[in-house]
Amino acid sequence: MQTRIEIMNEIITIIKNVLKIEQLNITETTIAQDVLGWDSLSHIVIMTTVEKKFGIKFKAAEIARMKNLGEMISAVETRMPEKSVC
Amino acid sequence: MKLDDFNFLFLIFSSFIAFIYIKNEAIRKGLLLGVSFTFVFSFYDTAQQLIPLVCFLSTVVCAIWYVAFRPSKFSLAVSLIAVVGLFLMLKQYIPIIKFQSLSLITVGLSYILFRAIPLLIDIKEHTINKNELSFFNVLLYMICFLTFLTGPIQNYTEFRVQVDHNLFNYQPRFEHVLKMLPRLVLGYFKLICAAPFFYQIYELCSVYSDKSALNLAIAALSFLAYVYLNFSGTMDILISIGTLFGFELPENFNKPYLAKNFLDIWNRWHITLSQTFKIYVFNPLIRQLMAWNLFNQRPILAGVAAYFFTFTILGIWHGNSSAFFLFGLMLATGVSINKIVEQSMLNHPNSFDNKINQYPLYSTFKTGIAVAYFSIISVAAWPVVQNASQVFSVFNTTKHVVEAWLLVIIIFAFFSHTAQNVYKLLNDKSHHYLKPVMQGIMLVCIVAKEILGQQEFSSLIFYQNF
Repeated sequence: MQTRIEIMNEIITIIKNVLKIEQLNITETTIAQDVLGWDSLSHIVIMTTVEKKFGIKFKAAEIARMKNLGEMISAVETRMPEKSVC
Repeated sequence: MKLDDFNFLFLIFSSFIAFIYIKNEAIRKGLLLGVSFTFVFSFYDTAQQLIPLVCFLSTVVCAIWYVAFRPSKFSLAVSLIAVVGLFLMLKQYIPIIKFQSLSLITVGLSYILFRAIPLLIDIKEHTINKNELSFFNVLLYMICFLTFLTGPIQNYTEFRVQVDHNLFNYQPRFEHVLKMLPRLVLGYFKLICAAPFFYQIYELCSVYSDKSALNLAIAALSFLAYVYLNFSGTMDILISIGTLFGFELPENFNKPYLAKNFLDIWNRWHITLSQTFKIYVFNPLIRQLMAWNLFNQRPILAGVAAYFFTFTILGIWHGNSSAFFLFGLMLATGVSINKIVEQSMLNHPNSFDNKINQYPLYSTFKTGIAVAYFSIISVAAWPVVQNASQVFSVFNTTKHVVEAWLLVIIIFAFFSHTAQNVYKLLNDKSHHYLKPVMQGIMLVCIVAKEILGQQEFSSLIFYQNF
């Protein structure tokens, strides 16, 4: 079971790879509009990569509802026990 | 029943007064449903004409409960095929059944479809639970008088929470009327005075004039202005009327004339439709494409493929002619080029574009390019254009289109600059008297138009496809 910090670091690495940026100052309250290049296409690519990385699946409406990085981490956290049960 | 019809206003305000005095939940429920049925039935002359709507609503309701009781990929697929298939038949995309007066008897079906599809997917994915569904809420969600004809497409959960709250706790007061009046007046001014004005300019330049680039530019921009004013005016009216009954409808427009680029227009124009397409068509498609090796390392390529699929569907949704198919393809081409250019700018932070981006004139120019593209391709949606070949006949030659495009940019830049100055003046606190004066003038214009200028202009021109 990964900790919240570990999940956050994994997601930040994914964001950096998708947006092709080396330096990223990001916190749990950071929203997509605060990061250059994080548009709706990048967002769904990030979400798909996160799903693949953690072996989880988000709901369609859930992806659109996530407002910031913190909510993304929480969504991954809530899915992780489901995965371990399976 | 049109929104500028006296009967509509009488229905709304008499229902509002009834809503003030009625506290009983069951009677309030009945009232909301009664107003919605009265509004919907006003579009039909005979009971026979109701058959398509009744069939479609019954299919949608059955599909919803089928997926709710058997949530699986199979039940969702069967339900989507049934609902979309029936829609395609009724709207004559698959002309199995012929209707005599198509435009009126299938009115409202397009928006019911885009409330039904997200609801079905959300139920299957357990975003919405079975116990959140009730026959009354689902029926009202589908035919509510506020959203039946033109949207906005509200999320079912938000709608249900508002309905349940309104039936128990909402206390309507006369202050609600005073609060919503300025936006209501603005909406009616756009719908009754401004939109027809631009429609007449469009008609003068498109139908009765020669095919010069200047005429094409003025007609294209006027038609876009007409659609914007007609549609956003309708939204102003419906959103302000919604507040009387305790509804907080989502906004559908956010100053699209200030969009940074063509992609940004879709964050500001018909927002709820764009969001619905993004969440339930574009995103799932990208997720599927990313599973393939071809697209896995090429997100832009996946994006372009998904843009073409999504915007073609969006174009066809507007109408079943080849002109709308072409319209969808041109929208997709625009957003794809925009995305590729945007990505290359991000990859080159020292590019010319990034250096001069902060200058307002350059921003206006970039907005102008996007608005000009949107207005020129909207030729496909002109009422006089019936098929794709007629779109090309309006375009005449490539030189003609390029000239018209440049002219639209210049005309748009001039009006955009003037409008922004007027907007600043109206919001300047030292000129606080200007806003009420403007509202008074708008009210006088509306009354004058209703009394003196009863022309055969129907706001239904715009709605008949939906």
